[in-house]
Amino acid sequence: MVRVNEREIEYKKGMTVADAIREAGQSIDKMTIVIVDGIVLSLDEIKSVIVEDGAFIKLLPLISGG
Amino acid sequence: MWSKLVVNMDNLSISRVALEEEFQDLGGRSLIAQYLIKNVPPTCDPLGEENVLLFATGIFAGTRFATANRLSVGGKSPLTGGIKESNVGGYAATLLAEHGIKLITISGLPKDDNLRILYIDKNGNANLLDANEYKGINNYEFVEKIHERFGKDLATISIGSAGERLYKCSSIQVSEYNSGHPSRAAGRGGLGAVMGSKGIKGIVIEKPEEKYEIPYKDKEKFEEICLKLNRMIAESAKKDPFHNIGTISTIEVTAPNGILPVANFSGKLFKDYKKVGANKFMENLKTRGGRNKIPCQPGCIVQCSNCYNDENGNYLTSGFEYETIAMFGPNCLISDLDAIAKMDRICDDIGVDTIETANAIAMCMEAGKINWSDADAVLNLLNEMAEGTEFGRLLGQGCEAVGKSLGVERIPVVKHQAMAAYDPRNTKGTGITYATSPMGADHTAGLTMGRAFDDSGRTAQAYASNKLQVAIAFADSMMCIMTFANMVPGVPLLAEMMAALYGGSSDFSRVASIGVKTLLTEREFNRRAGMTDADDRLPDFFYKERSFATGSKFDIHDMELRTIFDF
Repeated sequence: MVRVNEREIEYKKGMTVADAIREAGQSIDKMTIVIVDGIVLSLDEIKSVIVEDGAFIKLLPLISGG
Repeated sequence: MWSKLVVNMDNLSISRVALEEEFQDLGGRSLIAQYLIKNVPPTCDPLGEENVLLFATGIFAGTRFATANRLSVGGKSPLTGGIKESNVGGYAATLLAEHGIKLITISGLPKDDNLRILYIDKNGNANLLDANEYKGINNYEFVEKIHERFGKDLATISIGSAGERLYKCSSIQVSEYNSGHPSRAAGRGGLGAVMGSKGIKGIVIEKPEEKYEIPYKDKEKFEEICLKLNRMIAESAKKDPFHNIGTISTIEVTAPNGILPVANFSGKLFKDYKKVGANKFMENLKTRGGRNKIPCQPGCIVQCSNCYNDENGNYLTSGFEYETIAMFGPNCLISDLDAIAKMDRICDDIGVDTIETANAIAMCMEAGKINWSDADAVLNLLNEMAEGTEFGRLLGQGCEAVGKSLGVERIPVVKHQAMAAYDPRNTKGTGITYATSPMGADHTAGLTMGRAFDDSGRTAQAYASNKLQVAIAFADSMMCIMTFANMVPGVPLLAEMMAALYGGSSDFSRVASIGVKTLLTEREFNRRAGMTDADDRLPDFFYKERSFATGSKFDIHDMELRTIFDF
């Protein structure tokens, strides 16, 4: 099982973070901070990083500037 | 009724009077704008006797609304030469509201060189105390000595040596809730110098024995709406990167999109951004006993502040924010987060704006006075500012003064104030805000990143900037903008809350008109101070040089800048 925000999806061997987000029906854009098990990944990295079973993917939209 | 504390440094008198009826339902930035236009000659010398330094609490101060107790500091800016409102978190506004004080005005100039503390005791009595023993000391030591002398059940507002030396980039530092660290900065526009010119080293506010009772028109209604909004903010904040990580998370968006300034707004990308990014920050917090999710003021739900420790686990700084990290980091080609944290600490301690100072340092790099990436050289320059050497004093006059003195052509300022950490070629609405905000180049006045159709395109950028500048002008009068970002669907409820608190209309036009009127008043102040359309423009190099990341230039036509406030 992989969790994407509040949604749980079935784990598939070899799936990337981007695959998991898509599978969960979530959309992201350049303002989204993607955190996988506590580590922030860039939008480029999510296309190649493989998800592990039990992973928790948080999608946090940046809504203001620092 | 809310009261006003009137301090006259000409004759060292203090009086506490009822706040004028016309100002009763204003607060923060809106109150500052209306007070200044009526009481301060726009052409006055910012460091002279005609300027008035203001401290205002917000429209919902003293209530349970999240971040209602933000403090706005105002006056004519010695840096921009125009109106200035710089707002800050920390504990001071909470205690002022508990005393029933909505506004402090400090006018005139003392006839001697003595330093003084404005001391508000637990009974609400205000006195000017001799503060010569604190002359030349910086903010952390000042707060420590105040705690030793008066205890810790208080809040401080203070200037460091920079404010005493009248540096145009000097800040006013406010102590953080709980920790008491003077790490919250009203940084922009050099208001620390105005405080220094008036001979006020600090304002110390004791927690009152009896809290001021707020005269709600309909308390039950107010509490009902307030609870609804606070719940909305709390729910939204769970997914806010600022709550989960901190404002440093912004770099994860700005860096890959060419918005992060690199090497004095060169338009290049910074491949090492992760060395100063969210993962490194969180790893350092975890391994060194630091913390995030800290509220800088009571009642904050977003809790974007932090406490950052050094490699030995000792406290180094707090309120360590994206702007500071981006401007001392990638914009100076520095990728050492600990070195940047040291820079932040020095800036908070001597009391200077990190954005203005880091841009001034970038001028030194652009001119070849020090090398790019050389963190030690930066720390040395900051120490020169602390020591008040000749060059340190030049740095204290801000980015434009340093750039001009060193012969730099690419000086990133608007209205003499340095830009924050968003390249205007790749968030053009923000560029419009930089150009047209009465505050000078200020990202907090209307950051459009991610809100226009295409950040590096031209479409609807002026529209986005206009709407946000209005929204921020009323938000700055009521709350922290980090909270505001988490309650946008509930914005119409702000008017209902105002009606329940003060009476009158509950129509949203009441709130929107606060924003519009504030902006127009600020622009009128600037016009009377001598500013023209030519001041509402970005530096030429943003129109000529392309961003390497997107190929974009700042191609917003002057006509759009000129007409942005034609409401």
